[in-house]
Amino acid sequence: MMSNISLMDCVIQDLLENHYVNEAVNQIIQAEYCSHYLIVYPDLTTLREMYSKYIQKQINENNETILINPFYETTDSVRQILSKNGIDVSKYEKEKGLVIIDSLQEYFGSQPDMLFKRNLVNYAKQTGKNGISIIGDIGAYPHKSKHNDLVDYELSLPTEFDVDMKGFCLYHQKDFNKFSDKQKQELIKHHGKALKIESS
Amino acid sequence: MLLVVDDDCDIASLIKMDIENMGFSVSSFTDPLLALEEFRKKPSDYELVISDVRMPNMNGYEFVKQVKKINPKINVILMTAFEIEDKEFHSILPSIKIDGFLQKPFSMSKLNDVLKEIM
Repeated sequence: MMSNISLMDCVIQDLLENHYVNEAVNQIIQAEYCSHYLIVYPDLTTLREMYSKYIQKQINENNETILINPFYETTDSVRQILSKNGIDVSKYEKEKGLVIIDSLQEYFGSQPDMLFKRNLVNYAKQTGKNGISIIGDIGAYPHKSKHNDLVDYELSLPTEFDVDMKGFCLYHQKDFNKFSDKQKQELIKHHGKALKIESS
Repeated sequence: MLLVVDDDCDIASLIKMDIENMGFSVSSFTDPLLALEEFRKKPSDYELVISDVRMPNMNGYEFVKQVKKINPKINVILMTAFEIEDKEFHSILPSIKIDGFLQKPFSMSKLNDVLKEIM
């Protein structure tokens, strides 16, 4: 007989769309502005593959501004990964077409993060960009044991944004596992789409 | 024997290899919970624990706190590529002695120096 725990796990698994990296990247490339997705990733290697492919496409081909907030690697590590994947990081950073800020600073810094993001959307539009994508690792919250605060924060955000912004909230699988089943369901249902990336 | 934990498997492997080249035995883990399980099984086998700070599942501060609960005399080194947040560090580890800090990226000679100092 199936236990309650595994039954609940199955319910949660059913709410997540499972994809390998390339399919996941295709899914998020197709996301429309205003989208707010939850993405569960298995490890740093897979995450790096995912964000470098996505950013390369959006920045080089789709005239988009990118804000990325890493947590389990430094901002310099992100720069290195993107450079290795053919992105002219210093050029785009200078133009503010690429903004890389540590997740801890983004979510626990002095400036309210949504205000900063709205300002970035305005700047992107003024400089002729189509809009912005935000790839934010929420690892800063579990690191500070602020799981409940994170759920409150996520639920305070809309399922669809009202500006030309796509928000991709990144959860390391091991961080995601730490939420209660109720919280996991709330988080998944609150986002427009919930993807789980499988290791390649 | 040394216990190394870093969620980045490349870094964990590299550190393990370098420490082994210095002549020490090393167990390395990418998951702090598994590392803790191993340490709990044979705490007296280990002389030193080297831990990353930012890790999913359990951060390095919490990991070190648990390790010290099991064996208060164990030597510990924290390593990170980020600045140590004083407030956070002291709130989680108010009275726990940390024997060394390593700022990533670090050279093997730096690691060697720190190990010599402690062991």
